[in-house]
Amino acid sequence: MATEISGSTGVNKIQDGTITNADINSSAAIDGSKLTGVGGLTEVDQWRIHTDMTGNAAPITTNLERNDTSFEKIGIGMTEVSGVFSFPSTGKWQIEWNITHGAVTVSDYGDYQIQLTTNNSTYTQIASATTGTTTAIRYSSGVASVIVDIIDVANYKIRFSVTQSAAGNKTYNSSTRQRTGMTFLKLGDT
Amino acid sequence: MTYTLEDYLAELHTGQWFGWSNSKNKIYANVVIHSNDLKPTEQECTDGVTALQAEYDSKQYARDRAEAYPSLTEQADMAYWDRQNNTTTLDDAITAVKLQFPKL
Repeated sequence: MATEISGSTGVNKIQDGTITNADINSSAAIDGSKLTGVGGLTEVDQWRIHTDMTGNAAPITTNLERNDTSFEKIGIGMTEVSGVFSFPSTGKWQIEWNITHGAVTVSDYGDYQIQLTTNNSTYTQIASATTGTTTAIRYSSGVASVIVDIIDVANYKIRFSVTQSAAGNKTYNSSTRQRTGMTFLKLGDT
Repeated sequence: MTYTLEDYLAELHTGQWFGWSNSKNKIYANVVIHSNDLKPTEQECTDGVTALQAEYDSKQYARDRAEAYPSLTEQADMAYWDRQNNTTTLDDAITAVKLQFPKL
C-alpha cells in the first residue's frame, strides 16, 4: 500500500536517516526537473598546437586549434585570440597541458608554463612542467595541471609558454592527435 | 624516421615562425609565415628535406652501434677483469659491434 507523505510541518516530515535504499521501490524514479546541482560537466574543451616548433615561444601565440579528432566540446567552449584563452563563464576550472618535448641537437630541458592574468595585462606562472631529455633518448613528456577560480571572465585569462635550455630543441605537435595540447574543464561554480 | 616538410621548416628558424593555412594538409602551398623570416622556395624545401634524410640515414650505423654496445656498467666490469686476467674481452666486444655495423 502506497504511503503518502504530506510534507507539512511536524512529525509527518521526513527525518534524517529514516529512508534507506531498501525503502525505495526499484521502479521509483525522480523527475530530472526536481534535481538541481547535480549532473555532468557543463564546459569541456580541448585545444592543441598543430605544428612542430623549435626553441622558445614565450608565450605561444599561434598554430593553435581545437581538437577536431573525434571530439566535440561541451558548452560554449574557450575563445582563443593570439594565444590568449578567455573563459565562457566564471567558475572553478581545471586546466591541463600535456607536452611532448624533444632534444634534437643537445641534451636539454624544457620549461612549460601555464600563465594567468587577473587584470587582462600582467601574467604570472600558476603551473609548470619541466621536462628533460638527451639526444640519445630524444623524447620526454610532461603534464602541467592546475585548478583556478575564475571570478571575472573579462580579466582572468590564460596563456601558455615554452622555454628551453637549448634553442635548437623541439616541442612536438600534431594536428591529428593530442601531442602537445590543453584541456579545459569547468568543475563547478566559483 | 622519414623527414617531412614540417621537420625541415622547424629546423630552419626558432619559435613559431611558420604554420599552415590547412593544418590537415601540410604541403608547401599551405605554408604560412608568422614572422619576418622569408618563406623558402619549394626547391629549397625539397632539397632541405632530402639533406635531412640523407644526414639521418648516414648515421644509422652509429644508432645501431649505440644500441648494440654493452652498457657502460658492463664495459667497466669487462675492463676490470681484462686487467685482472690479461684478456681483451672488452675490446673484442667493441670490435664485434663495429664489424657488425660498419661505418658507411
